[in-house]
Amino acid sequence: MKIISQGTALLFLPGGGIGHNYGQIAAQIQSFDVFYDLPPVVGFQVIGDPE
Amino acid sequence: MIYLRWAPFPGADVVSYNVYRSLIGFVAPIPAPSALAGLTLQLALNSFPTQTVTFDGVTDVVTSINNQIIGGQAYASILNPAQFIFRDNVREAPGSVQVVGGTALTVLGLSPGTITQLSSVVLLSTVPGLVGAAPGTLVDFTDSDGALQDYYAVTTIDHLGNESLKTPFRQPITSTGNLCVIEGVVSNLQGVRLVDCEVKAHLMIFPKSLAPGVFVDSREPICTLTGDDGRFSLPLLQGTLVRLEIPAVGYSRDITVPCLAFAFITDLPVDLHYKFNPDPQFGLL
Repeated sequence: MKIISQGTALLFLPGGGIGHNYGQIAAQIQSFDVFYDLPPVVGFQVIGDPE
Repeated sequence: MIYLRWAPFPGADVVSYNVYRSLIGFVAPIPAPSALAGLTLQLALNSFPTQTVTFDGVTDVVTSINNQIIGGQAYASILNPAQFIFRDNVREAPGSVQVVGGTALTVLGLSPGTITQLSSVVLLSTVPGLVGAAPGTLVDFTDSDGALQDYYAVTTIDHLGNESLKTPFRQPITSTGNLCVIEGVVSNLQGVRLVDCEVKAHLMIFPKSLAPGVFVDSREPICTLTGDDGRFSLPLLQGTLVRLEIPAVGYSRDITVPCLAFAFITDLPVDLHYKFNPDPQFGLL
């Protein structure tokens, strides 16, 4: 699986600080797409011989 | 005997293919009978009580199992003579094979566990890609040990050795004529691929070139759903005139299924000649 990131979505990551349970770090990324590495196979046929 | 065939996507980087099979059973090496002398194998089939095979050190492993186990069958593999296959007689869900234990597990390379439909996948073979072949050339693979209830999937391996995900697992179908697999992708306006979209084909005119004595069911459409990636593959008889529909996106075309092993839905020309069924034998549609 390939993950490619670019784009405008905001991503909040947990951080730490004195007096805070969690801080927030904002990172700007362009977009977030997940591509499946699917087999480049077409016309897949599975034929059974009943005899 | 199961025949698999497929074609690489045009221009795809494919060096070889892996073929996988899943069955309710297991594949194990055939040891010399003496290696199993006095050892035992305990199996429970379809949730029935445990049965125990005791090997006498003389009889071969396949015969020993078949003589002592009820509800399953062992076969010597044709594809790999050094192995045997044990298959549950209930070859689809809810069939199950539970390897309970026994002293022969190590020799047979087995471990305790329950095998159900699609719970166990075995790499069957690696098939080299067709280098320099014309686009659309089919790759063929024959599984001499396969049964109609087994499931098959294929992966591809690129020149860097990366293996793709598996195709969806397919069960064999028996076919009376040559098939053309219609391939396509359904997406929305954002380009997001749509999952579980219905794709259906309805026979409109009986094909003329089928084997004698074969009738084609024209009452119910053939349906499939798009997968996790929005792709669908719909095998149809070549030469038939069908109405192909994807209701979710308003697609509806009357097409003649081409005499090709596969075709992309965008390459299918609309059949402009169809007006009504001219053959009274089959009535008005």
